[in-house]
Order: sequence, then C-alpha cells, then structure tokens
Amino acid sequence: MHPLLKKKFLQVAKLLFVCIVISAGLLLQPSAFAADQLSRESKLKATYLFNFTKFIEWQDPPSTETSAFIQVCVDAPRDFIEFLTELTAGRVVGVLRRSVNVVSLDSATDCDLIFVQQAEMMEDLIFPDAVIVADSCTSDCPQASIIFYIDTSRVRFEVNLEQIRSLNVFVSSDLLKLARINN
Amino acid sequence: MIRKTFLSISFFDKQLLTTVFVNILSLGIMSIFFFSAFSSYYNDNLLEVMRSKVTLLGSTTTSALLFGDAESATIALSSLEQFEDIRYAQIYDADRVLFAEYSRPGVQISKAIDDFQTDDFFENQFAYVSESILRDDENIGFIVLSADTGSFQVQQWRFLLVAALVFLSSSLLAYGLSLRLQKLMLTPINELVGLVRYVTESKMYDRRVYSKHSDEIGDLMAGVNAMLGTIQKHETELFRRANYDELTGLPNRHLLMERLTHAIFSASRHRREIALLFLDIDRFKLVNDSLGHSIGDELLIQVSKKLTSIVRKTDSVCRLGGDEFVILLEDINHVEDIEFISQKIISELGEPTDMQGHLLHISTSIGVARFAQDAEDAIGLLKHADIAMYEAKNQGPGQVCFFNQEMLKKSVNRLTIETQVYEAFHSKDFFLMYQPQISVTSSQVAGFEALIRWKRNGQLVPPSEFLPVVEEIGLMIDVSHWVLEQACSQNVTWQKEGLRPVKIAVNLPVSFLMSVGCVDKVRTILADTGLSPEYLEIEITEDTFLTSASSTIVVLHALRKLGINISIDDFGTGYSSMRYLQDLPIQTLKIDGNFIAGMEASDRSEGIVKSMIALSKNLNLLVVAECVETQKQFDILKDLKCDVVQGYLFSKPLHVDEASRYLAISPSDLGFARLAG
Repeated sequence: MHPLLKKKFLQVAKLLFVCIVISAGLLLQPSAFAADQLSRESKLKATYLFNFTKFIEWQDPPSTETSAFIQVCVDAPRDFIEFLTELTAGRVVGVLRRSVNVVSLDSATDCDLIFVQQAEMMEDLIFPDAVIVADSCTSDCPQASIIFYIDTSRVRFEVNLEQIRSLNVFVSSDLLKLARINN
Repeated sequence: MIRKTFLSISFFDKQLLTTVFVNILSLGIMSIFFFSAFSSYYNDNLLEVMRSKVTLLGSTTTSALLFGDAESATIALSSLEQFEDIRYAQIYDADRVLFAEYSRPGVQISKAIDDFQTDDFFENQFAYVSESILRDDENIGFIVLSADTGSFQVQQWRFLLVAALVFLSSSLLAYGLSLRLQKLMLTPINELVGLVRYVTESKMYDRRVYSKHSDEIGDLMAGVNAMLGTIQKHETELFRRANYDELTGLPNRHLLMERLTHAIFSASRHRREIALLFLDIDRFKLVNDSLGHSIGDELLIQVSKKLTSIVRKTDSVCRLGGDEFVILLEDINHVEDIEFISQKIISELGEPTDMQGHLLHISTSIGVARFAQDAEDAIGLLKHADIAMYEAKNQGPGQVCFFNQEMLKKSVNRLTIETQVYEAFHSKDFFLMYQPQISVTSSQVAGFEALIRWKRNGQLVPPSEFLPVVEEIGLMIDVSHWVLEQACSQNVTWQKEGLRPVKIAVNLPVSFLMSVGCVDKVRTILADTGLSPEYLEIEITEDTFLTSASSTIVVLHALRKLGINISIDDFGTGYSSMRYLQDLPIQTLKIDGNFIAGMEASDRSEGIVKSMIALSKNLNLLVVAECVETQKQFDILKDLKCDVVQGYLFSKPLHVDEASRYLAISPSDLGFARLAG
C-alpha cells in the first residue's frame, strides 16, 4: 500500500476509533446523561411516582405470596425511567418495606403502578389491578387513578377516588388530603 | 448573742424551739423538694407536650413535605395557634431549607435550624424542641417548635405561694401542736421540778408525786418517789441515831440539849422553873465488869423503863451515856416536887432487880440543878447537876443533892486533885508504909500490911481522900500493880538482909482483881521479885463480892492456887454473907477496927468480935484484929483467942527503914509497942 494511503488510512482509523470510544462511553453512561437532560418537572413527577408507593398499599390476594417489591411500569422516555430507577434504587417503602422495581411498560409482565404519558392511551387494561398514574389527561380518563396537572407552575395531582377505590389498594389519607379529588 | 440567749432560756423552751426548728427545717426541705419536683415535672411535661405536638405535626406534614405542598404544611402548623404558649413552628426539608412556618404575631424567630444541636433545650424563658421527620427510615425533613414558658413561671410563682402558705401554716401548726404536746408532757415534769425544789428548800422528804403515766416519765416519778422514800427512811434513821440512845431508846445528849434549851427559853418567857436531875447507878461498873455487859445493858434498859414510868409524860428522860441519866422536869412549882420525884426514883430503883438469875440491889445518886437559880443556860445547868450528883455520891448511895455554889468550888478542887494525883503517880510521889501485924501467941511480928501514902506539899494526904480519885481517873489498876510490886520487892529485900521472913499484906481493889490478866500480873511480880507466894497476902473487902462474886471467886481461886494467902479486910462492915466464907479460898479474916474500938464500951461489940473469932476458928481461919490501940483491947482479944493484932498499940505504919529495924529487933514481948509512940 502506498505510504500516503496508508497514512490516510491510519488517520481515518484513529478518528474512527475515537468516535467509537466516545460513542461507547456515551452508551455506557446513559443515566447521568439522562438525568441531566430531564426537566425539573419530569424529575418531580418521577419523585412523586416514587412517593405514591409510600402512600399506597397494594393488597395481594390471600392465596398469593406477598411480593418483595413494588413493580412500577413506566411508559415514558428512557431518561425518565432511568431517573426513576436511580431514585428508587436501594430504597424501601411501606410497612412491608418493599423495594421499588422500575420497568418499562412495554416489557412489563406485572405492574402495581403504571405511569403513562397520556391517560387516553390506556384503552386496554393489561394489568387491571394496577394503579394508573397519567401524566396528563385531556378528556375523560376513567382508567387513570391519579393524574398530574400543573397549578401555578407547581406539579399537582388529581385522584379519581372512584377508580382507585375499585382497585385492590389502600390509599393513605395523607395522600388524599394533598390531592384534588375527582369523584 | 443568739447562743447566749438560747443558753439563758429554760430547758423546755429550748426543747420547744428545737422541735419547731426541726419541723420548720423538715417542712422547708420538703417544700424545696416539692417545688423542685414540680418545676422538673412541669418542664418535663412541657417538653413532652411539645414533643407530642412536634411528632404529630411531623407525621401530619410528611406527605406535604414529600409532595412539596408547603401550603398544606403551613395549614397544619397553623393549628398551633390555639396553643397560647407556642411561639412558632418551622418545617425544614431534608436539605435544611425552610419548607413551612407558623409564628405567633410579634414573635421574633432568632434560631436557625443549625442552632438545634440537641433535640430539646431551654433558653431564656423559651423552650425549644426539634425533631426529624422520617418516612420509611428516611429523614425527609425537620420540624422545630418553640414555646414560651411564661405560663410556667406564673405556675411556678403560684406554686411557690401555695408552698409558702403550706409552709407557714404547717410551721404554725407544728408550733401549736408542739407547744400543746409539750405542755401535756411538761405537767408531770413540772410536778417533779416542784417536788425537787420543795425538797431542796425545805429539806423535807415527805411529799410524793403521782402519775398515771406508764412511760419513762412514770418510771422516773416512781424512781423519784422510791428514792425519796429511801432518803426519808435514812433521814429518820439518822435522826433517830443522832437524837436517841440505841440501847434504851431514850433521847441522847444531843436531843436533851435541844429540849433543855427549848425548855429554858420557854421557862424564861413564862417565868417558870425547870429542874434537871442528873443521876447514875452506884457501882454500875462493878455490875458491868463482874456480870458482863449484856446484864449491864439489860440493867440500863430496866432503869430507863422505870425512870420513864416514874416521871410525867411532859418530862424528858435522857441517857447521856454509860450509866448516866438526866431527867428534865418542866413547870416545877415547888422544890418539894423535885424531892418527891427524886425520892421516888431512888426508891423504885432500889428495889431488887432480877437479871438473868442474878438478884441485883442497885442504888442511885441524884444531883439536881434548877433554872434559873443555879444556871441560866443548858450547858451550865447540866454541869451543875453533874456536880451535885457527884456530891450526892460522896454522901453515900441513894442520896439526892441540890446544887449550890460550894459544890462548884469542891468540884474545882477535885479537878485539881485529879490532876495532882495523876502527876504524883507518874512522878513517883506515892510511897508505901508498913504496919506490923503481931502474933498474939508468939508476940513476934507475923507480917506487915503495906499502906500507900502520898505527901503533897509536905503534908500527908489521907488515902480516903485520894484513892477514890485514883479509882475514878482510871489509875487504880496501875497503882495497885505498883503497890504490889513494891511490897513484894521490899519483902524480898528484908529476907535478903537476913531478917526473919514474914508475910506482907497488900490491899487489892476489885478493879484490879477484875482486870484482864490479873493472875498473870501477880505471878509475874512474884517471879520478878523472887518472893515466895506464901509470904504474900492479898486483902480484899466484902464489897468485892457484892456484884462480881462469881468472876472474883475464880480469880481468887487462881491466886490461891499460886500459894498466896487471901484475907478479908474490914470484915463485918459490908454485906457480910456466910456464903462467900464457904466458897472463897480465904485463910484470914480481919475484924474491922470499929468493932475493936467498941469492945471497951459495949458488950455487944465484944460479943460480935467474940462471934467473929469463934466463926473463924470454926472455919479454921486466922483472925486478925485491926486498930488495936489499948491494952484492954489487946487483953480481951487475947482472951478471945485472937491470932494476930494490928494497931497503934504496937506500931503505927512505919517507913521502910523503921519497918526494917522493927523486924530486926524481933521483940519478945509487947514492950516494942513504944516504938509506935
């Protein structure tokens, strides 16, 4: 090979290697990257999601063994999921001191708490006993138990009391007194 | 000052003060303790309440904190408004950023979250409590609460006021109760103090205290009563011993002097007379020495009983000591009354008295002194009665003498004689003279009678004058010993000089014969002088056997056993008894000179002498006639077969040199009587 070509080849290869290394590095640090990218509002909502697990107790059927964790299924961007995963990592909640497991709704096999971007999306109830938290609801969202909303720049939530009562869960009054109740 | 005041108050006030002080101290300590406990309790309670509120609020606001709902948290904190003591409350998030807050209007919040290093503390008059807000073991924030302790201060003052009131009322109550209780307990003690004061001041032990207490006070009272009883008993006994004679129970000299002094005082006021009778029992010493002290004591008791029965109840019979009694007669109107009582005493005491089988004939001599005639004080009256009694004694047994000033002079003289006799004996002024005794049949000197003589200021003093004094001053035993020793020694001297051995007669009084070791003394004298006992004759008088027959007989038998002759002097003048002629170991009878002197004038006297000589012959006794002064007397005696004669017809008592010559001449006829001329 021509030495010049060989030199050009080596320069391209070097540049490619650098790109590959950078890309690999970016791929290997997605959460940090995601956290930084996530808006304050999303972070608050992710935090609220985690806090909901503290005020809601899921009543497992008597025949089944109590689960060691609370399965939170999230239908949200990857960075949201990662932030939430990072937030709940190593922490336990509730009287039963269960850990919180965050998974993508797409890959979930079981869910206790589901977070969806749009409440209207939940037409089919794959997990009928799961508490559905919707980021927003533009019209009627009967399946969503909790819906976030913004009130004077502050993230608030609304509880569909009828819906949540239909579920096999116990909601703390402390949570209810902070929420806007929708019967 | 306080200590001085405290020491000056009474014991019971001290006790009361001490009790009240202890009560107040206890109450004070209790009040402080309760106040401290109240404060501590109130503080703890306040903090506890604050902690409860903090915990409750922390719990209530957990969700608000978690979901950032400061409004809800503030509303929750605003519920503290109803508690007036709460100043402010704050909630901080986990990053110590103030999340929610409530504060009472006008309250300045001066504490930041970082100032709460400890959970609870007080500063100034504010209480501060902080607490972490936890959720699922995570610290999600802090809550801070501050309260004003002003109400506590008010409560504290109120409690202090109540405590002070309780303290004061309790102190007053304690004082009142202590005072009352002390008075209750003090009553018997006051009685005791009163009793002790009474005893101290009056020296009387007759009062007692009585108590129903069965406690220590009761025991103390019983003890004091018992002690007083014992003291009273001892006091009575001491009084009795000090004032009464132990043997007879009669008042003694001490009580006599008291009564006499009182009687003189009373007689002076009422211008009355009193008489003091001083008496003793004649020859009581003989009774005591011969029959023993027990009989002597019994005799004294009998005499005291008789005296007491004779006099009036208002009169006093006292025993001065020994056999001396004094009778105080008060309110005497006539001297005849005194004479009557005195004679009655002499008469009653003269009655024969049976003492344990011994029939005693005693007599008494009484001296009388009267107030105010003879003396004006008790001592003078007693002394003059004593002098009068001595004069009565000189007059013979059973005599009464009233004091006069002449007796006083005699008494002084007598005292002088006593001193002189005493000095004479110790200065060896006494000497012996020897009167020959002549054998009627052989006309030879049969022996000598040793006679004691005393020359005072160149003048011979009659033995009848100084020998009683010798007896009374207690020198008779020593003098008798000396006479006996001198006589024996002289007889041995004569024998050593080659003169014919003769008997030497020595008069020994009963006091010598009754003295301890009499026989041994005689034996020792014989041994020391070397005189053979057969040349010693002891002369005794009949009176020797009157009161001391049995013991004297024993002594005389012992002397006789030594080989000494025993002679009865002045036979026929005393209480002549045939019995002792039978019992006694006598060899010689000396007929009293009075009978010899009477022979010339009286046939009766001659008859008596004749009978005495016949009696002696029948009893195989040698007869000696004393005081033979005339030839006629000698002739009669010779006719009556008298053995030995002694008297001025032959010789007066001779000095030792004369006696030596008299014995050396050894006359063969009665012509030597001229020597006596």
